[in-house]
Amino acid sequence: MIVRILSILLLLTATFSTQAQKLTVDYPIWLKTDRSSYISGDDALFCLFLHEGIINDTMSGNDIIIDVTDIEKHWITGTIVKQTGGMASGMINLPDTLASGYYRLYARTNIPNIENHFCSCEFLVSNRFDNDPQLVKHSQLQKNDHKTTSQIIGIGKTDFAAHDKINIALTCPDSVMGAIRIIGKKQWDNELEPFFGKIEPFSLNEGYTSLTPYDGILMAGTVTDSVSEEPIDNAIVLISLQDSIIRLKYDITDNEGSFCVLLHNYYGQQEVFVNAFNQQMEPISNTRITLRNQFEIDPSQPTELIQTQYAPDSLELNKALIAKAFEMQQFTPIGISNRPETLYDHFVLGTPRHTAFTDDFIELNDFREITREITPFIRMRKGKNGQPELRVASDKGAVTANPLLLVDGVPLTDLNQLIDKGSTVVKRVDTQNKPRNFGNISFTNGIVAVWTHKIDFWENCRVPGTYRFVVQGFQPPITETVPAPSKDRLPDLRQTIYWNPSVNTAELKNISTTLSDETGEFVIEFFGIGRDGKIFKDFKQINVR
Amino acid sequence: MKRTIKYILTAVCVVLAITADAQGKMTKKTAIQHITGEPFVHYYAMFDGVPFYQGDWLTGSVTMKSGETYNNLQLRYDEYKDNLIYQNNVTNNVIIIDKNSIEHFTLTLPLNGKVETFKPIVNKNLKDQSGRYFAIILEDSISVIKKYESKEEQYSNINMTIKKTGAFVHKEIRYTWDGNELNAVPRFRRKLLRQYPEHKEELRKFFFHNHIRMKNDDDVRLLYQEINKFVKGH
Repeated sequence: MIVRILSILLLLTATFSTQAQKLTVDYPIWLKTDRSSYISGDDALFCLFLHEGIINDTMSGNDIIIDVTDIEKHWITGTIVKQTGGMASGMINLPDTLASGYYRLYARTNIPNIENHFCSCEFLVSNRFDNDPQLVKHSQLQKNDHKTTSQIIGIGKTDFAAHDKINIALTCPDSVMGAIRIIGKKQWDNELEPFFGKIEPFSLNEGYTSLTPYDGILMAGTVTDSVSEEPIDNAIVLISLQDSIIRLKYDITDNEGSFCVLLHNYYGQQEVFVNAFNQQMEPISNTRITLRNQFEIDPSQPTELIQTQYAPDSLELNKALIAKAFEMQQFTPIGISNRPETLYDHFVLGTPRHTAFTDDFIELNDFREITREITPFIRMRKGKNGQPELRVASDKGAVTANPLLLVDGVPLTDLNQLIDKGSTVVKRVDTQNKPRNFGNISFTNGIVAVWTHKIDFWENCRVPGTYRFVVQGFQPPITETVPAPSKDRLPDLRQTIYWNPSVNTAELKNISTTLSDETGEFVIEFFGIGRDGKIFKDFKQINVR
Repeated sequence: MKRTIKYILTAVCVVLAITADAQGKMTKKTAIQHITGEPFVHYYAMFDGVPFYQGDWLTGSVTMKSGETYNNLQLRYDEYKDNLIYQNNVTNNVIIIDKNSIEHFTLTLPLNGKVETFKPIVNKNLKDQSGRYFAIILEDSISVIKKYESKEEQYSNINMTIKKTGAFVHKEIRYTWDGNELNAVPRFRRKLLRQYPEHKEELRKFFFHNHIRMKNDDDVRLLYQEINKFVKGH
């Protein structure tokens, strides 16, 4: 009996001592952004390291949840990244409409004692359309006290010319997880934060939902009859996005009306559109589609849309045009891992039989006129039920009615919504007059894809039966880009010259990168954490002329 | 006592059944396929033979550019039109898979189980913008690829009773591919030595120690592995 009691006591002591050891980890997550201030619309790059003490605890999940809130803890945006070997990195797009002010980046894990594992980091956002009082204030901030702990960074010289190549040697006796960056000295001097992020309890203001991780990016839901509430089986569920390319996924419902789609290339926050069709690709009327996204804790409940503090982009910035202007394809990726090339490559449309650009013609008042004047294979006629319908002619003259009509990549089931849109709204019409196969479904009547100038058709368009949901996805590790050297290269105005968020000094010894066209003083900064919790910091200043 | 055990066992069975059902629901239907293409239309009735690689349907896999891989598909590679044809067992449709959606595909030969990998390669010399399919023999700085081709040869005397106007003739041509240029692999050693004058001596030694037949895939792979080493400066 005594032996039993003793052994129980021993076991209890061992358990409590382990708990006590866990709680002594003061800084379980280290969080850092590439800069301390951003312009709204920028991508904020971040990296984080987990202390060795909690890596073992994260066996149940590798997810790190990142939330951006304003200073009053209203949730703005977020993402989920996966940690490997105690390191994780990613980026968050700061919305164009974010007002100037201070914001906070929170990182937390999904391990059980979650309240002990979070970290936050403050940064400033300046909106170029504001008067920018915050930015002025920011520039007057005092320099933080940065101290070097050990000599890690080695550079041969300190003077460089713009767009020079710079080689950095890393010498560190220990295996240190860290990040290295090159930024302007002025910005570095004005860092808002202490070297690493603060530990602060994470709780959102009432009414705001944050992210909850789910193992795998799975989108599941049910299709039911809105009147009888009976599940609809054998329905084709099309999942699409409003974009300048067609991104379609599909599933066919089972006898419980449920569908399930794996969004394996989905990243960040996306608004998806969901439609239900019958096997002849005719829209099913009176449907109710409920979606459970992977972040829901209880999959039996219908989706709660994540609330956002900011309004939809009202600046009407044509991002695609800006990207084209900067010729992003001239940029070559460097860094540790590559982002997959494309989000989706489902060539649902195939090679269009005919493409018509409305800008090539005189102004056309409505879509009927567009089909009559510039699209030789499409006609708009009155259908049997008195409603307008599209008809597509094949090369041999055979006419089929009701092709799959996509407007800005989303199926449009009510043609009346498009009928009054002329060439001021419609930019391009692609016609595929051959049958197309997409997995286990067929579009036997062809496909007509209509693109608007602003790719914003669905902003104000509500069609019964077309449901929209906001879903979240995991983010892959970030990849930095530097311009490819060329004779007639475009201006290179990178503010962060180099950012490598996942450095393991045991593996990475040399770094080589190219400076931008920016001149002045720059700082090369290394910061990291050893396996024993020891902090490593080193800074070197360079001059670029 | 026996009754109690019975109750416990029944309860355990019920719990197990419920959990198993829940698991099944969670993992349901995540592997639905998204292969896109056009319906295949037969075109070779006027020719003797078939223009397909190995003549028949083969089991293979397709990896799409979006990252999805579909295994155990019934595939046919059309050498004449350079198309990959796929039979969908669910819908019974036979479709030509869009070339620009394919990263690579494999075909397994039924007799020896050999797996051959094909990739669409885009080259300025090739007219087809979405590329042409080549079988991969070696992937390196200088890759070795093989083109399977079927060409029709018209009969000089058409026998109207058979109603065939010609026959498909199969060809195989090996190329080297450095990411930009496509060059035919020389059929003779002398020509190869002329292509790499700076490594002439090493290559001669290599030929002396190895019996290389320029028509054999394995030999060509071995040879170009060596050439890649020379070119990289090992």
